[in-house]
Amino acid sequence: MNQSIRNTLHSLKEKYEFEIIALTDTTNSRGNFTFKWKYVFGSENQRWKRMELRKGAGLPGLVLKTGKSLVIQDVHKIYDEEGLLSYPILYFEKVKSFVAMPIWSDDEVVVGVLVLGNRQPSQISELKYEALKTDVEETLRIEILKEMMAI
Amino acid sequence: MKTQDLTSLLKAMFHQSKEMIIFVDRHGEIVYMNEEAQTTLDERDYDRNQFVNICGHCLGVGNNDSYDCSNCFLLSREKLTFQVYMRTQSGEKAAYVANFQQIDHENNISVFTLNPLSELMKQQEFEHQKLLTQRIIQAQENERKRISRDLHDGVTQELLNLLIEMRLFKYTLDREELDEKIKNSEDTLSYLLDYVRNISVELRPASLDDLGIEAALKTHFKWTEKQYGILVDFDTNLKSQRYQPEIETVVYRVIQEAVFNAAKYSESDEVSVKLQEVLSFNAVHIHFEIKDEGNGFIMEDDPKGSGLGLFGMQERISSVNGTLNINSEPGVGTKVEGFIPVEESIV
Repeated sequence: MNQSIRNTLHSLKEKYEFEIIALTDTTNSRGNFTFKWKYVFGSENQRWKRMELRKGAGLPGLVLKTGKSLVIQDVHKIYDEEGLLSYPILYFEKVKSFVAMPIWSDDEVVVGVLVLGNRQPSQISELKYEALKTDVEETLRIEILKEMMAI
Repeated sequence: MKTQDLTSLLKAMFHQSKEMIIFVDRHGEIVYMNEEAQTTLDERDYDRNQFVNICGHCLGVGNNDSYDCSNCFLLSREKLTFQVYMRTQSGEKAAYVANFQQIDHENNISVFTLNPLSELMKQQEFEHQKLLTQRIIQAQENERKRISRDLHDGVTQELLNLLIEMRLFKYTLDREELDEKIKNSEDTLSYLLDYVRNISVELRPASLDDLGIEAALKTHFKWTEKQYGILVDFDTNLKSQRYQPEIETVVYRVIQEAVFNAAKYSESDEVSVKLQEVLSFNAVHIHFEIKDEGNGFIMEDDPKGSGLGLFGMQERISSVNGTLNINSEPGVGTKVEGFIPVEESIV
């Protein structure tokens, strides 16, 4: 657990007023197709600790595959209860609105997926998303890359 | 209004009604009965010229195929809309909705009317069946959709990826760069292999047929933990015993469904599964229990999902003559327990 990444995540969660913030593992190395949630704050249970994420599946899998951010203001407008089960982090944390974004390394590899969510539908304006994205790039991304360099 | 005589109308009604109308005295002796009753009820054993007793025709009061005389209508002056079983001419028993009312207090004469229940039940049964079929078809369609999407989004896309990657091989002149690309394609291929394996295991684990319930469940629980993050505490005394394939499938599927329900609804971090071969009443049984200490639910409430899951479990269990018990209490948790009789385990 990297203390500066923790602090950064905490302040992002506070600043942009999200109830839950989650970041996946960065080790998506060759021959290893599964990765895990590494930091989750604001969770209601321990399930995320045991979850194993696959490249093409689940919310992080989707973000990883497309390399694009996802901003959803009300999950029930898009998924039904059964469909939501394919995104366990949303289902079990009762997330109703969220931002999910990939974090890129300098050589254009996704080194982590960040999810910020609320437990009720909420307006996430373009302005807010852009500010968040810039903030993540300037703080969290740097911390993650620093950690990777250290290893 | 009074263009016809009431007596003649009543007579016509008595004789032509499709409802059985029987007049009885207080001992149950039949005073009169209409044509419908005469043609329906079993009279072979009786002398038609004599008064006969209703008890010769009646099997008892009750429902759901359990009936007796403890609630006999003859003991009351009036008993409305109750279910009674009668013996018909063909010697079969049939259920009727009956009314019993005393109409002549002086002579203690009562009228007993009977309407066949089977028609009503048939209609209800039919409607129920229709609804069920619709749901099953819906579930089947959803499952197909899921598999199709899995194949399309996962397998097809990755294969296409691979195809493009490999096409580029011939334009790569630098040996090191080519090695890198080959390595990448290799990774994609082994990822694909993993992916396809996952799909097929999810559909039906080969280990269930090859290695038995215990091995298949262990694999499945590992998958459940990774997928839904719920810890499955599995305790079994089954080593590698084998049973008839249909019993193994039932045990596997029912436990799978119960664990899935726990993962989905309990909001608990842990579920315990016990699977045991036990000796009860001098016969070998498979006993299993899936228990969580999560949310629980009110048993009488409408199901949260389609309700097909619980129904499917019951159906599967009864197909192998087993019994299933589901107990749940809000805030306490849920327990699903099953017993299946088995022959001696086959090696």
